[in-house]
Amino acid sequence: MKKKLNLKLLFLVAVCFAFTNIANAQISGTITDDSGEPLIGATIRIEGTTQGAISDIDGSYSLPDGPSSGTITASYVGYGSKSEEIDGRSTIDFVLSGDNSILDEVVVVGYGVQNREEITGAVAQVKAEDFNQGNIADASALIQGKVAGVSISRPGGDPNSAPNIRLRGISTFGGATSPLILVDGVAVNSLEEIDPNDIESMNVLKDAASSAIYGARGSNGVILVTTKSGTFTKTPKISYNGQLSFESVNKTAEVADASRYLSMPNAVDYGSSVDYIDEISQTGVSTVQNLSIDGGNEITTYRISGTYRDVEGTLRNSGFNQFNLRGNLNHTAMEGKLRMNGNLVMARSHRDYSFPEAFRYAATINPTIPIYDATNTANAGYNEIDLFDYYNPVAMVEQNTNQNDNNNYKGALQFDYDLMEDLTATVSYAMNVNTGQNYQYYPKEARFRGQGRNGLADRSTFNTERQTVQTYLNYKRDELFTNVNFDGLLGYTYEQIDRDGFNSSNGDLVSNDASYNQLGSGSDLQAGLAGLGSYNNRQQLRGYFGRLNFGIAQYYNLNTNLRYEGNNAFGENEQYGFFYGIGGSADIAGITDSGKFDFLKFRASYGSTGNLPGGAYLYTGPYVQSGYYPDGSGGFAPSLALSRDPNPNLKWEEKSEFNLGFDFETTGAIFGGAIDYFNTTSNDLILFLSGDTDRFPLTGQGFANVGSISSSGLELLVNYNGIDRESFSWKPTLTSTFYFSNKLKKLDRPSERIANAGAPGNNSTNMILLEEGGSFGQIYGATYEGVDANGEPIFTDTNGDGSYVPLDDNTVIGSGVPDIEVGFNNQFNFGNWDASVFFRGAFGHQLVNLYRFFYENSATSSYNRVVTDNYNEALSVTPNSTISTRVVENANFVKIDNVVLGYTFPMNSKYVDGLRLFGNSQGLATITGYSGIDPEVRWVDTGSVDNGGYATSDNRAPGIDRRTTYARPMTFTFGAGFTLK
Amino acid sequence: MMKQLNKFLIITSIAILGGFYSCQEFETEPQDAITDVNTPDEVAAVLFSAYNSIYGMMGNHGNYFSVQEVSTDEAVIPTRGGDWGDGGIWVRCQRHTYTPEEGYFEGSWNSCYTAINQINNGFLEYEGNAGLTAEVKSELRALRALYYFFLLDGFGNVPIITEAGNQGQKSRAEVYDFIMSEIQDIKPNLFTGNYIGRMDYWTMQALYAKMLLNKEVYAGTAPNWQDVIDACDEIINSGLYSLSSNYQSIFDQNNGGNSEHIYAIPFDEVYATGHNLGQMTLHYRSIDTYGAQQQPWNGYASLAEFYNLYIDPSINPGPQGDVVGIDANASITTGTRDARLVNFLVGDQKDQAGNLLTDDSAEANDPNGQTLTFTPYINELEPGALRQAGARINKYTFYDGFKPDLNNDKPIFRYTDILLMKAEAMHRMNAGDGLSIVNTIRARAGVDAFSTLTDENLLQERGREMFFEMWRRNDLIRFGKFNDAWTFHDADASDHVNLFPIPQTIVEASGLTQNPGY
Repeated sequence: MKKKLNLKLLFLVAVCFAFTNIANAQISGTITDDSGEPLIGATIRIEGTTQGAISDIDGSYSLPDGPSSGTITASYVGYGSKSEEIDGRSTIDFVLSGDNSILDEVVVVGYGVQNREEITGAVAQVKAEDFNQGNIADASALIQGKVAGVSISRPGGDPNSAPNIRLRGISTFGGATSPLILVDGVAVNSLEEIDPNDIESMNVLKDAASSAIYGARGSNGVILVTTKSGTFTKTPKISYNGQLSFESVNKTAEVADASRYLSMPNAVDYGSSVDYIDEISQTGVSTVQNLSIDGGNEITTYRISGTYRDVEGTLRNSGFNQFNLRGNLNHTAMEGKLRMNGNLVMARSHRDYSFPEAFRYAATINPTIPIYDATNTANAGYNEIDLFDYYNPVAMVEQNTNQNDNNNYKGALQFDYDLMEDLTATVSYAMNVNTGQNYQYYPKEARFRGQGRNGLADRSTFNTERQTVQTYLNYKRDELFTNVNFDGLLGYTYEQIDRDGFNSSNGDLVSNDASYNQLGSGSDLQAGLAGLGSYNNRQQLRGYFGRLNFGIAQYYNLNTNLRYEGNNAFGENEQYGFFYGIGGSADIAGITDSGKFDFLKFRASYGSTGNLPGGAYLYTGPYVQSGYYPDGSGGFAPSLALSRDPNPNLKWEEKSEFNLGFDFETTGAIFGGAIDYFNTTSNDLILFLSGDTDRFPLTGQGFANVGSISSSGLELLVNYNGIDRESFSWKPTLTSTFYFSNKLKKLDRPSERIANAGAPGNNSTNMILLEEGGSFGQIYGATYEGVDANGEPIFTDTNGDGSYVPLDDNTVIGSGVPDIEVGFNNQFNFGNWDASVFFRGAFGHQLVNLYRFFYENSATSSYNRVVTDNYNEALSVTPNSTISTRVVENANFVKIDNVVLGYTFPMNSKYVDGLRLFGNSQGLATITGYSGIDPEVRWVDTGSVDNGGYATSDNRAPGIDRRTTYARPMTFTFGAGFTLK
Repeated sequence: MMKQLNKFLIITSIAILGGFYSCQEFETEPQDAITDVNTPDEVAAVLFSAYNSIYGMMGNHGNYFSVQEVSTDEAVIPTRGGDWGDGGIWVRCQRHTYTPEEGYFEGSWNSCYTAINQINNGFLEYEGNAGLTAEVKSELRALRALYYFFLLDGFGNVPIITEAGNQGQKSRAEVYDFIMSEIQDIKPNLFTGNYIGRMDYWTMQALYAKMLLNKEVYAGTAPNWQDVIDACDEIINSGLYSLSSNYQSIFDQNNGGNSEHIYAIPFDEVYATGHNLGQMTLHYRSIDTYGAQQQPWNGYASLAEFYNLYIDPSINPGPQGDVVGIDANASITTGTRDARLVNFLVGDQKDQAGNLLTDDSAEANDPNGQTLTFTPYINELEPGALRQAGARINKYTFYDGFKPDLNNDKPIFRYTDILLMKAEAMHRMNAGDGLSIVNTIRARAGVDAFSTLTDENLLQERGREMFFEMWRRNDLIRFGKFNDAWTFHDADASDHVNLFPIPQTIVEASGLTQNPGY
């Protein structure tokens, strides 16, 4: 209650800033571009004062109380700025020139913006016009391949799966591994919360010094999403974008067709011939409709945008639809001293996950089995065979339901007030409420998960409420001292995340009719086999932060970020952590004045950031009801057990990073780009350990700070702008990341083999070797030499003791971490046509191809055989649960990832502006030697999902192509966009 | 005026913001967990949770029970083509080539010590609480002694940790002495009735007898056989226990409180889960034999050589009858009709309607073709054991509609074992004595009496009677047969394998000395 009262007061105070009075105009003029077109919304400012204005629809501005002397400056995003001496004039006009130089780019950084020239760390920016186009379901796909050092991997094409985002490879495998994502300065749960159509730009803070201002959650980088806002226009601008996509299966597991299967040893003929993968696949037809309206006047602008997307996956019955409404209002008052921004978001989505496992079972089912068997009423006429890990995939996707509904409501309000001419105070509050429900139903006749349950219904609800309060003071002054410009920030933030949820399941239902809607109708509750659970926790975070930036003698910049942060995940001993970053830069082009470069800046930074796993109260060891003890007379009583051992000394993971970089742009902006070298060490990684009675005597499990890892690499960004004529321009952009090395310096034990291959029969066949002193992502196994005369595999006797012995003769045979990742974009413009071709690739990584491991040359005839080019007729049986170089393949690839061809109609319509039609293709071609479904880097092991079970993913085991990989799709999209005026 | 108002606003706003932040104290305790344990019921719920470790380690695949069984001649997990390879861990278990890195050792060790540490911590935490009475404390010390016995039998040289602290790694003989002194100390305070599923006087008495019987193995000194006899007699004469007339009923799903159970782990499909033998041993298609809830995994089987102990008339004389033979075709032969053959499932398998089941994926070289037939004969251990090969383990009789977690309780100490232990002690004191006791047990099985008692036929009788009750390894070691060759096990080069290796992770973390030979 106290909290709510205070929040109200806070807003009252903030709103009070708005009361003001306005004086008469004394200086006025117009602001136009080179061609004389008025620039609407350009900023006018009297230097050294807080007086300013914004140009109106005609490019006109007027300033009240303008001084008769001093400097007046006009600026406009993308056009640089221009200053004039007032000299008693009352009319001053400006002509601003467009400027492509990266020098003047405004870059969003933590709690503010900086000019590109002020940046001392590794910060990348991607603007809307450079985003990937096409059938984009998730905002991260907009920048896939566009930012050096940021790896975005989504193997296969499941529209409901979130991608794995890794910054600079691996800097932790303990706590969170995904970047911190902020939308307009406020942390959100995931990028899925923001509709791609509403994004203006995405910035990535890569080095520790830059992200240190976000302290404890900055270790995996920070993605700052800036949303579109209203612009000052004569009349409101209504924009429409729509697109229609067709997505089809491009590649699945390569298995034998019926006739080939029958030619193999031990084949069993059920008399039919079915292409099961085809039976469960579809051409996904997706549509996106986006309508936005924006406009405003000198003091108030707004934008309202609504998007409806209806997406189908290539798996039957999979997809989602989503409606997203976003409103944004900007208002200035008190002669521009007070700026207010508010936004509201309402989003609702419905997802049909369907059952991606169906791809696996479609690959492994005997292709001669008919889909239907009318006599099998127990399974509703589907043909089901009682074998292990064996399901009719058509029944799986047709009978069962796996859905999610999600509602997201966000509201944020921010006030900036110029307290003094150089001092601005900012206060903001944001609320983000996410509520969702998951539903599953397996009818009485379902074999998959429903076998023996006579109907199984499952429902869960979850609710996440995130509140963020931020306040900071920003002092920005040119010539604070002679030759020293100063920009300083001091602030405070409090964030509270309340999570609660409820889940229940019941089986043995009276009827299928009510699906998951009448959980009480099941008898499993009475039999003690129903499930019920709930949770509720609160995570709190408090941070004090600051930034000091000195621009010295025009060419030098010195930047410091500081953060002191507390989190109730940790106990009192270690609740707070201190994080910092320091960086410096020198504009060598300016200093040397060689004339070859417009811009050549050297940067160096060093910083430390923190990290922690999700979840609250990690340090505690609370009791939970767990199991039942015998009561001595044949019955049982509930027991209480610690869920884990407490660890009051649990503390932040800490990453320190050294970054060295160059930004360059040759004269005339022909070549531009950046090079960054990074060297990172992360200590005290937080792992959840189990089976460790030494550290955790009471339960054998708990959180501990045990790991350490270091890595280094190089990032490269090169733009070429040399072919830029009216009739034809070609602008290639190359981004690449070179992963030099990574080293596991410390683990909870000297070495460990993890990531088992799964069922059938390989639950103890581990594929990844973690060892202190080794690299991260080591694939471990035997070296395959060929086949002997009996059809048995020959493995290398590496230790020379006369024979191959499992474990003894196994060595590191691959790496799941790539050496190089590359994105190469080519933007073409010719006349009214525009086109882009985007290539993306990764090199130097291997993948364990588990489809081949299990089903190529399989001795178990119930499964269909995988027949890639590697298939060896001579090899008679499955090589006895031995992971070997036979199934560990190089997964180098280059994809023609995204191709766009667009045409903008030259129109002189009274009502319509900028009609553009485009066609797009995603996943057009993949050049790779890898024989599996998708050679994408697997940063995370999804775990084995066998026999209807559920997987647990593991950050410690990259490089495994599980049988969960969804079909790799190819997509064609047609779209149109125009603006009504 | 405006400036003053501004200043006022600034100061007020900063003050209010400060107030807002400072009142947001961090919450330190989860709302959804229990952090305050006070009442005797709550304390009991914490203390007795130490019983729960035993469900997993004695019931679930891949833990203590698995390695006790699969390292002997009574059970094996063959590698069936692509299935059950599991990186070779089960083949190594059968061949005694296990390494300190096998997961089942780590699991066993942690199951024991987690429970031991819970008990120790409970003593310290709830000292003086009304929930921790002298009786409760004695019972929990008894339970702790049982966990130490599992460690003693498996790993031998283990650390002794009590509420007084970690006393460091002790020799197997010292661990033996510790357990014996604990038993002596607590016995007077234990419940003297029959406590179902809990530690009582008689559980400790049975453990005491078991310890004395194995003294040579555990402590390196010869047992006093009369002490063993006396210890067994105390149980026999208590009048609380008796031979069950029906062998199968000792192990079936309603076996709770059976007259033979001195201590049985009270498994339950809802409350005490973990006993999943049905999943482990039955064929995938056996789901239709029982209308089972989940499909079994086709793993564990017995060996033909062991099965033969029941049906070979020269080893197990008795009334002759039709039994399923040991050849690859599982054909009907004439052999001993031992009532304890219910321990196995062999021959053709049928669905609930009585129709023969088929395995369409049976290997081309399976002599039985696609008709699902369990054969005691197993063609090879790895990699190409036939899917249908091996007599399946039906000791804890499966029932219609069984769920992955069975209801069948698993006896650890039972009356017949006490009788056989007494007979063994008598035979050791004076060769041949104890014959009548053994013949009582044989009579229940419907087989002919032995005329003499020898080491060999006593071990075989224990094998037949105590099959899959986790005593075979203990018996083989005590009889000096654990290192002998059998079908899938070559004679061990060294007897260091009679102790399991201490898990590698524990050696590294705790700085323990590894057992010799590893």
